[in-house]
Amino acid sequence: MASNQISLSAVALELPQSRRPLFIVLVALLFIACWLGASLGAAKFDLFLPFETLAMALGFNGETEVTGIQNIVLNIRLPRVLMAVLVGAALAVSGASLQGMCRNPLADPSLLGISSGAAVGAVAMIFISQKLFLMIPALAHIGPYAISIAAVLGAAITAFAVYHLAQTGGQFQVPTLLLAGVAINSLSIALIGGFNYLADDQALRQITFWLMGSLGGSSWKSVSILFPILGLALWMIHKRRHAINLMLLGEANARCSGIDVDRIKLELLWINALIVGVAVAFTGIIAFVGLVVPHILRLYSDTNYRYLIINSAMLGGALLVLADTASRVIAAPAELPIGILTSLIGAPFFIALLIKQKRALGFVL
Amino acid sequence: MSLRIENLRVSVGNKCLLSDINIECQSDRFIGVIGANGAGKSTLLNVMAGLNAPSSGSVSIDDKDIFEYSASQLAKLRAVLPQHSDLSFPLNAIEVVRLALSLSSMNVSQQHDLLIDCMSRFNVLHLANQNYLTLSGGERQRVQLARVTAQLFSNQNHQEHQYLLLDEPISALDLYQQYQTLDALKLLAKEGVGVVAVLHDLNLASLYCDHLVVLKHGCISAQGSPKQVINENSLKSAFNIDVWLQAHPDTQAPFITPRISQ
Repeated sequence: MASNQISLSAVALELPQSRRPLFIVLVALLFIACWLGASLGAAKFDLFLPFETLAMALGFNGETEVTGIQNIVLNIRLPRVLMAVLVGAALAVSGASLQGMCRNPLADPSLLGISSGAAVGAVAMIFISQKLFLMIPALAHIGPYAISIAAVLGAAITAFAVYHLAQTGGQFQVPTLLLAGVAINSLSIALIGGFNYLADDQALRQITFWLMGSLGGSSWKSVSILFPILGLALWMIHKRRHAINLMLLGEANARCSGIDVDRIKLELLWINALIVGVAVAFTGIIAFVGLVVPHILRLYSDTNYRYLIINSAMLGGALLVLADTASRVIAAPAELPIGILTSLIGAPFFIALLIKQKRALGFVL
Repeated sequence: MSLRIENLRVSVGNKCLLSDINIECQSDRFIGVIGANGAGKSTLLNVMAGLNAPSSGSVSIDDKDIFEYSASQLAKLRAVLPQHSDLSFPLNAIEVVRLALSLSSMNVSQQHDLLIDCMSRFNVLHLANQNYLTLSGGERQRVQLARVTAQLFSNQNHQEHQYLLLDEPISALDLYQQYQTLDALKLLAKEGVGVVAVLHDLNLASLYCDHLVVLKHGCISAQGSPKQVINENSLKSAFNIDVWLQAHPDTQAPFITPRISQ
């Protein structure tokens, strides 16, 4: 017993430190992804370019002349990379928190229809605003904000609808959850199709953008709008990490452990609607990031939300930067829509996950 | 100072699940709740835990209604083990137990001592670094017992009276672990934690509990010490069984075995 105790005490105390290697790997991955994202592109491939540009921008090497390529790095690639980090982190954390809250590994904002709900809100607002701005030109400058707010509302409506459809007597029914997501998704696509039919050429291009997702519209302005909103939302989810952890054991257990479960669920649904709505408003539907990222982390570590939220944010950011860089480079100078790329990777992953869960739980979908 | 249930009545629709329930649990007692399937044992435990609201009557801890406590205050006074505690994601056993400390402000070495203490009480220390999902049903049950115990112990304000509410804590355990676990619960009661457990094995309940509550169709058909409660008539009435009643050779506690009609 005594020897048992000694070895166990060693192992148990080791745990917080044993998470450090993964953390370091993720930080390094995020850094490398950003570096590649700023170095590669249609205009020029140069791995030293980001450093030269940064040195110039901060005034280290005495030059004041901005070359064309440095301008591209500073004002096009860099905000785009930061945008990808923010949106990737947001989607991954959203997926991780939804999975914890639903106690189900298949939860993801795009699969549950939250993303497409946000897209419906955004598309509806584009459609309305075009008519509205023609009548009242003064409203035109609130356009981007109005679209974001409409997207958040669309996301909130679908999040609450799916959540209530799937919950029966305090239990989440997995098939109902997925079916509700499928139903909401197809309803949203039908609605967007309706707007498609009514829209003119310019609106049509914008609408296609929502459905495929793109980081092409990134600018320092959009980064400066997204950063405080998503930063705050991510921090709010991270603050609820202990509550999500306890909810893994079931709602009754969480309640008995001192968590106000109903309040936390409501808060998490709203935060998720905010995250997904804002992300979709700026970059369109980028699917599967929220599903894949927490699962990759669970393969290498476990489900402890004390670490999973931060790790998801870093891996999600890194993966989306890499995916975006790939989408710019593969078909340069044209761009592949990033939503297609993440779905190409994510959908097979999702199918594999379904097969695994079917085997493990023996349920038939 | 006690966990007290007064004139409790719980009904859902027209169906009355519990009525006229009066129980007082001191914080150094081990109370067993026994009764046939569907007698209302789990409902009683859920109401005592504050998970369900009573239709009338009250549940109070230290003379204060449990609905006047906040969820986090209540979590420091009582811990609850539901019948089923499932986890759908991988987590090591020690991390499952550590979940109980999520809301506490202990430092790492205090946490560590507490985890070791709670896990060794229920013989699960050797499972500390195994994935909870790979454990057997009985091992999971003991890990959960360690978790709810850790929840109470994480409250450093130990002068408060604390209670442990357990719904069938030994249902998945082998005989050896049943004895060990009941010993551990008895020890907890001696240390000042009131234990209320739903049990199915009447002989074990008789041996280990200080006080037994017999439920029948949502009412208390008998309560008192095992010697007062366990007899041929009460068991015939509550469980519809015919038994031989004997005395345990060591403790003289009532001991039953079924009558076999040829």
